[in-house]
Amino acid sequence: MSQQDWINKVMTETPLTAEETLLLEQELASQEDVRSLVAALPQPEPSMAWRSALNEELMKAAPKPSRKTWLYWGSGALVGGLACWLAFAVLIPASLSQGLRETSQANNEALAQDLLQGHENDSSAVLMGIAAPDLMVLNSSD
Amino acid sequence: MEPGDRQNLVADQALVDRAKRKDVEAFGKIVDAYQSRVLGFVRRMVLNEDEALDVTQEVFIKAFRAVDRFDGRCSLRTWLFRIAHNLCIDRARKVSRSAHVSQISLVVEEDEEREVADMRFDPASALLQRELSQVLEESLAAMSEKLRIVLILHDQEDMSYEEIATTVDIPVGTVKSRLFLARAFLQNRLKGYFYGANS
Repeated sequence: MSQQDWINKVMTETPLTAEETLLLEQELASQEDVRSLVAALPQPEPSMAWRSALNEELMKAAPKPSRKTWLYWGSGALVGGLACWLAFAVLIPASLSQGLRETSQANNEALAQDLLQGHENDSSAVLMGIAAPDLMVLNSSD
Repeated sequence: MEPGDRQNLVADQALVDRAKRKDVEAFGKIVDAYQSRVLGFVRRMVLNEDEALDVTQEVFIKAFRAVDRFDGRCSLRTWLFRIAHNLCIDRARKVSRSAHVSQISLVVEEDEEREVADMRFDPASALLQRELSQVLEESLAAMSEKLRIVLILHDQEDMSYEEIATTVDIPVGTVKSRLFLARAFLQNRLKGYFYGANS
């Protein structure tokens, strides 16, 4: 096999014999300096604007949530909202009325205490002669 | 396979699984990991900065739409580069290459402006590196597409012969032949540059 025949076969991309392939491997190994030169070529870095434009395109290409998905999540949210509203409607008034009951009971006790105190003061005043019993009646009728 | 590569594959697979459920955030991480490499490949294939940016964007959008059909028989990188390769071929059919060759030097200059830090420490070597990069980029642009694809995927992307064969859809033997011819082409072009630099 002459060198020229081999080169012709390589150039015409004709399948090579084992011996010719070995020669090709050797030639490739001897070209390593070219490889290092090509490997050292700088790689470009795309700009942020390019990346941002690509992101927009990708978002457009991404499938939109289907109607079924909206229904699924929408109904879930609706059920959740209803449950919260019911809980609010049932539990909050109960606790409110309990609070009111406690407040009115406290008010009643205070009123009773005041009345009792007033009565005791009036009785003491009559006993001590500061006030007449009829005056008390008049005062109370006023 | 290196342990790091295996970890990358596992991480890729986890992201792909999420992306298959159309998780834009997970797919965004895939974009972050590969955008620079895909853009580098595409830019050297379409030879025009703006077009390269458009095609790269198209690569990722197409990948996002088709990710549920990614079956994991090849790596994510191979799959992405396959999409990129197909789109570049489609674009090349539409656009005549000669109209864009004059823009290569501009693209290279823009890139090299980012290497300001190197210039500060060793301006002479940075200048040489810049010049060499320019000659390399021009040589790559002058090369036939079928040789360029193999050269970039092997020498820059560090893909195996088998991965390139899958990406470009050619036999492994053809990958080797094309790689040899591509490197020989570059050697020939660079010979002139180095002789000129020494004289």
